[in-house]
Amino acid sequence: MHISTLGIRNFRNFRNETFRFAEGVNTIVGENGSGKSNALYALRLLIDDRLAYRSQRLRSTDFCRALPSWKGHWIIVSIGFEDLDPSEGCQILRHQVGHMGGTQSGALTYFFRPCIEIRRELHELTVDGADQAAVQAYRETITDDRYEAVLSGRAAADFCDDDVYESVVGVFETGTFPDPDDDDAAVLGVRVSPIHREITCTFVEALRDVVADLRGYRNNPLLDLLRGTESTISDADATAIGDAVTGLNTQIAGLSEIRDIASGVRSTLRRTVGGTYSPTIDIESSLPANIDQLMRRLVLRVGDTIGADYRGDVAEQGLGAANLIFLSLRLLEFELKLAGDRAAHFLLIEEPEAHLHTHIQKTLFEKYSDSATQVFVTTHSSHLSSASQVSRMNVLARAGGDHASVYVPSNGLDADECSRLERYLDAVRSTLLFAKGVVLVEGDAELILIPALVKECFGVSLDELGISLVSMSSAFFDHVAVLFHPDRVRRNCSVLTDLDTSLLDLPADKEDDTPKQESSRRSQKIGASRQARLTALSDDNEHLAAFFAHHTFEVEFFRDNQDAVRGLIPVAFASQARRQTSEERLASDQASVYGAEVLSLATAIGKGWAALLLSELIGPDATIPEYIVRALEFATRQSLSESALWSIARYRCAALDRPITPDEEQGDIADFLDTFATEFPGDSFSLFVTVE
Amino acid sequence: MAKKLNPQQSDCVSHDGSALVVACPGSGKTRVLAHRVSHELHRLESRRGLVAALTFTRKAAEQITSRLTGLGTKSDRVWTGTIHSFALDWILRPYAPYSDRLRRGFRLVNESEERQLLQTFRTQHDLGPFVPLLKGFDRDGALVPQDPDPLAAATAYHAHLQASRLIDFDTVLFLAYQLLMTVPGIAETLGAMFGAICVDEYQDTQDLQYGILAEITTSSNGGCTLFVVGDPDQAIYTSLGGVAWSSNQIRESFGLQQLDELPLTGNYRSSQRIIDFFTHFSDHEQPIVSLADYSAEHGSITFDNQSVTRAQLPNHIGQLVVDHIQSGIPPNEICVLAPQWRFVVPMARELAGQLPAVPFDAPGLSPFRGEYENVWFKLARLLLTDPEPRRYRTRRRWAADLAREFETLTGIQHSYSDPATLLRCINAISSDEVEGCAYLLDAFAQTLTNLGIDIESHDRLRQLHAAFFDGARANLANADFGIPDTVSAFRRCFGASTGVVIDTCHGIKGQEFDVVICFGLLRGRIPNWSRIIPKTPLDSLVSPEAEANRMLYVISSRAKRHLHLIAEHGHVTANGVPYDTTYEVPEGFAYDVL
Repeated sequence: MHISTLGIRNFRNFRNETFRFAEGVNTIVGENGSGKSNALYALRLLIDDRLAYRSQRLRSTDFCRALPSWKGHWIIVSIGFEDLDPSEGCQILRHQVGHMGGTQSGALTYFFRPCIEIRRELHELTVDGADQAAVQAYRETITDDRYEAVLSGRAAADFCDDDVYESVVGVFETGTFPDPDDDDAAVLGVRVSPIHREITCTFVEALRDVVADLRGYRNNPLLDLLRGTESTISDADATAIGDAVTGLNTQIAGLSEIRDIASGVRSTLRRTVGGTYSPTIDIESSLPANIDQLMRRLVLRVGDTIGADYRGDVAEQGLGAANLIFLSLRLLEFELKLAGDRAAHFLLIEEPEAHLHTHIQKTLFEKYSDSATQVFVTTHSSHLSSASQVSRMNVLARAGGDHASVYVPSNGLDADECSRLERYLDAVRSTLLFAKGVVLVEGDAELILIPALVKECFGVSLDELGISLVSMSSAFFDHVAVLFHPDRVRRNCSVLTDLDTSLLDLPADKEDDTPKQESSRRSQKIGASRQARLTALSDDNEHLAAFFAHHTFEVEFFRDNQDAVRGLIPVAFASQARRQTSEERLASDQASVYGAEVLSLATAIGKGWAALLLSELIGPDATIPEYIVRALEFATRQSLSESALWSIARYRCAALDRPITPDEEQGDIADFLDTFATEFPGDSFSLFVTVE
Repeated sequence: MAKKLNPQQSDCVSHDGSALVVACPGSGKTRVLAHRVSHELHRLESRRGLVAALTFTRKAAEQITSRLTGLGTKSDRVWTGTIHSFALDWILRPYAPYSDRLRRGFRLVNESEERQLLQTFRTQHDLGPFVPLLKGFDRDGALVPQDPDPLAAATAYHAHLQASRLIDFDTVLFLAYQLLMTVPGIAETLGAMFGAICVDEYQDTQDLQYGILAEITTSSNGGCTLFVVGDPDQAIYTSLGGVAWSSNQIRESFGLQQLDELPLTGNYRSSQRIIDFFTHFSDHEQPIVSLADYSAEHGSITFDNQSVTRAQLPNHIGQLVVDHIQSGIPPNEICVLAPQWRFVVPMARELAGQLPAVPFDAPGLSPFRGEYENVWFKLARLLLTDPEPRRYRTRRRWAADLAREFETLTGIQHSYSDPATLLRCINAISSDEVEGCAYLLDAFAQTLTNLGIDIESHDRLRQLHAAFFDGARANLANADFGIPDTVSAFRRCFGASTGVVIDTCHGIKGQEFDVVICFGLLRGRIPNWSRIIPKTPLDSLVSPEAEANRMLYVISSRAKRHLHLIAEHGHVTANGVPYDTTYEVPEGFAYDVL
């Protein structure tokens, strides 16, 4: 049995998001402030019996601030279960939350919703055909103390579906609310008790003081583990130990040093207050002789693996070791004491990088990934541990403003697609998963030149535009491009590649090809099939678009920036004659001639090196090839701010000495961009802001 | 309780696999059942194996629970209750989404509401007071066949329930059965949850109830063992559809590999003379042996055959009661039985008026009749009983039950889920109200405040609150009940019964008394006219002779030492014909003469 989904609606920074989980170790990755703790809190509302009762009742401040007004809305947190196999010890859980009808799935849902009177009132206003003002006026009177917290099992509806939400809660725009006395149990499920008796949940906070836990009495995993053991100790053993302790107590109390102190205290007291008022004082040793109490005195002693015989207090160890011990004890407790009793163990760990070395995390989690323990780890984008797999990962991103977006990078991908993606992402995954927009390119030349072009032309870095530029080197675009999809990472990704249309004129019959033509024809064919694949992939996918250089990136770049490319000639060729030829060829109007020469130059210097040189040779007057401008525009479409546009405009006007001055204080950006594009039609920026 | 189980009893308890136990009266059936439940719990070590102990009445369920507590059995893996409640709690409520009748919400009618509704439809269809109206369903959801008028009334009644999103217990059984049949996952899940199902009084079990349980055990693939206990000789609920299935029929329907039939023939209750008397009414072959300390006592068995007139009856019974009390028998060891409910209240009034010094109890009379499943009843019984040591365990169990109810109804785990905390909170409540309902209203409100529950935000709590008080007020308004609306009267409903019990033969199921006095042994009452002149198919299931024998068997076997049977003179039928004495009372027996 495992939790397969977590849907959160209107809770804190979640407007309406769904997490997807698999058996074993799941990672929730997100930047600071993206809502990782809120996601865990939502999960704990349903599964953690250590979350205080008070905290289970939410308040108006728990509503998502992206809602125009919380009044009348519901907070809904729903978890989906899979593999509720009645023969696997999950029968009671299945009875509480399981869907019937041949599935092994189930749902447990938490509602924080207006009490029935409020819902009735809202419905009656609907029935009466009251105007919006009346509904609004009534909504204004709603307070959160008239909300109820309800736990429900086997709700079949997906509350993250807007249509479902509106049918259950109401349509706020039109002021239409359903009749609460007609609530459908098939949609909303049936009330259930908390499932705490069926599962166990361990929550390890980022800043948990585990050393204190290990020394304390409450929440001490060692004592929890030992609890109950005393009853299995034989009476003979218990009596023998009890007698020994009693003997010890007598022996200690009988020490002359102790007796002297006791009599000293007595005589001082007598001197001070007199015999009549002085209390009787004695000093005793009070080691408990009772086995139950003795067991509570047991402490864990810890040593290094290499420190041979020394064992010390847990506090002497680093926090990492203490955390490791804490987690191990909890895992063992589950294995030894609860496994027969509970259907599953959920382990929630906040930022394990704060507790555990990556390597230990990996082994610890791998060991538990097959058992009845399901692990949820939240982590920081920059600290992705090697234990986290893309297939068990949810990415939390800030979707502008004050709410979060959840991306499930592997959603809908098969195992092969996942593993290909994983292999590639190993190196650059965080860049790809967290970028606000992505541009995938073929190789080093693009990787070097595009940032330079953008910096020179727009005066900003790609980072400032929110773009991650990733070179695929030799990998296939499609393996990575699948990530960007409405079901997965909902960020725009532009794929920049070459059509590799032959520069040479090709004979009609390929049998007549020269060896050069043959190779050119082959490249052209591969380019065409790549185009077909990418086009197919991006069709019906609003987050993916492919942009093609007609021939190659270098040739395209040359067309727009001939002077810069000419600057390469002296570096490429030593002989004057060759340099002259090169000049002439570049000046040709035949693509087959200048194109071939651009490639010769690049080959002579080395593609990467040539790109580096070019990046130094360009200035603000450089032109970004059109297909690249379009790619940049697509990649930044979701995230580009008005202030970024103003800043580019200011730079552009100043650097090229344009006769107009952008005025952020006075002007409207749309008007300004309009003017700019009309005045300077060939400008890369004009193209950037006018692309459809 | 400290007594060891006898060999027959312990054979039943430790029997390996499913069993059908035919238990003679007074054979310690309830005790065996409780031990069996405990035995099953140990066998099913893991807490995943739940055990259901299903009884015919709520009271019997309470007894099982008390006994289990006495055995030191932790009860969170045991569910005890009636089969109706079982169907409601384990099938209807959790699986409502799969029933079109239930998914939009439903409520169980309380008894007073049901009576009123039935009366309304009887009147609408011009049914006389003695025309039977059967509202039970068969497995296909058809009403029990009967005359067109009552059938139309029953149909209209059910249509009304459905339109009002109400269900009654008959609907509960049919819907539960229907859910099990149409949604196979349910029986499979329940079959995996319950490691054992124990059924008390199987002879009173209805076909739909057998059907429900059989579906569960069959789906468990042998994982759920069955333990049924009962006595076919005591099958007195046939008019409600109760029927004792044979062991073969049970084994086949319940998908059991084997079902062994085991006897309990040792009677701890009655003297051998009483036993020999009541065995007249049975064709049971196994001899019943008295294991009582007083087995050889002669006691008394009398039969007043038409020698006491109708008018003298109260005096006559009063004299018997007084004589026995004077001979040292405590009042609560004496029981006066009427053939039907309608004779109980008048007799209770007469006796109480005649013997002001003798306490009388009519247990059927409670203002909360019909609301025993209501969460507010569960709170009321804690408020109306004192936290005294002998009640400690019971009240603690009630508190645990109440905490669970609150948790389910409010959907949230509360800080007071711990029964001890809840008890402290309830015990601390006091109110100056002296009127019963006003007191409860106030005490309920205080409890809610202390627990921090806002009833306004919990729809079902409020509905149940209204139903509880509506039911109580209707009962209080009913003159037959004659209960005053005072706190002290309410408290008495929960006090240990100390008075002479006045009840019907059906009402004292499972109980025993030193002295049993039964009047109205007249053909037409025992057996009832409906058996002599059958009006429905259920009526003709059992012959009038068999019915009379079973009734007499049950009546006589309640007695430990003294049995007084009275066929009073002077009752006439609607046509003016005097009633005959019940044919089956043996004439040749050596009755004592007072």
